[in-house]
Amino acid sequence: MKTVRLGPYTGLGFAFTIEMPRADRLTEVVAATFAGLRAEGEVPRTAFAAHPAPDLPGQQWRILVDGECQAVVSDRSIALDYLTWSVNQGTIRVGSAAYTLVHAAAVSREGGAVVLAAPMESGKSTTCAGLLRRGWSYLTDEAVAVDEEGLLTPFPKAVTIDPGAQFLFPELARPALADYPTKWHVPAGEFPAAIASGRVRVSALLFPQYQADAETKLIPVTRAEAVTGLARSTFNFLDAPERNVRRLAALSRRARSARLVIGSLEQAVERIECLVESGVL
Amino acid sequence: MISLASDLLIEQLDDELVVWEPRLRQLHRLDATASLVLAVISEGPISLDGLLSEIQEAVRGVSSARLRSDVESLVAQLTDLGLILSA
Repeated sequence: MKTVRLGPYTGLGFAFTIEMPRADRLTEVVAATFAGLRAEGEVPRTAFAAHPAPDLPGQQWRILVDGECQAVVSDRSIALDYLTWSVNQGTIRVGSAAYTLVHAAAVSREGGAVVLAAPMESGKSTTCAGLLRRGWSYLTDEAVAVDEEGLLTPFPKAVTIDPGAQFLFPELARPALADYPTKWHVPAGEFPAAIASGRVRVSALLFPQYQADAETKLIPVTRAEAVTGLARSTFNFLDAPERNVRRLAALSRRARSARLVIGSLEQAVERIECLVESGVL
Repeated sequence: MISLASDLLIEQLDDELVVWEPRLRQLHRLDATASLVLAVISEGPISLDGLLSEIQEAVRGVSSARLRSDVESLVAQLTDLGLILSA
């Protein structure tokens, strides 16, 4: 099998390449998925590879890390999910040394970032995608990286859109890689938005919570509530708790904070844009 | 006497506090009232009566009996959380 090496890529200091079959439809998808992390000149430390496994039944693929088989997955779609997950894990592992890493999405406009911090399936990636569609700049939909000066460094991985939210973004429909609904991994370049350049200050800390049929609204929370909310969502909080508490407190002092109850994506985007238009952010 | 536990990391945020307690490795948010109690205790070891006297000055319109009950309850909670020491 002829292969091609994609990359180098980097996310928060985690530099890597991905080896793929030269002639396979998944290769093109992987190249597009990780395009936002392309970093010429980086020295990769980790070599991922995804290869079909013709010796195994069905359409299975092997995922390798530095030559060692890490997983056998059932099809191309799961191979893409596994690669994305592995890159996220590597980024969080390496990025933890320098950054406080909050499980959150972030977008920016006019130099100020809106952070959407929440557990999975709260609507943060969907709201992030809704704001990107409106031209906001992209930082991340997975890990908000807070540095020692309280500024946010972009980790512009592809935006993940879960099957349940895909009907909201018909313009982003992906070619099917499997016979059942799977996540979409949408590169930031497919939105009418730029990737935020350089570090960004925070303007708002929002804690989204999707509630079907609820009225979409922003409910202010105190700065202290914001800190404990962010701490709960911080991947590496217990690695350096004092450092992280100081950074999260500094972040909350600079931002407006609110719980965002999301009944509809359209209204959530409207509420956030109203904050900007009213000069609150 | 009541005193502040050592090695706490305390961040004041408006009228609330966020406190990292390193022994149990827990983060706490204290509301305005609990923050006031902790602020007084953080100035140095103090008796319960001394604490009540200090709090009484800051809180108006609360009866002495109610205040004592509330502060005693707060002191017990803060002790359980490892944020203060009561001896």
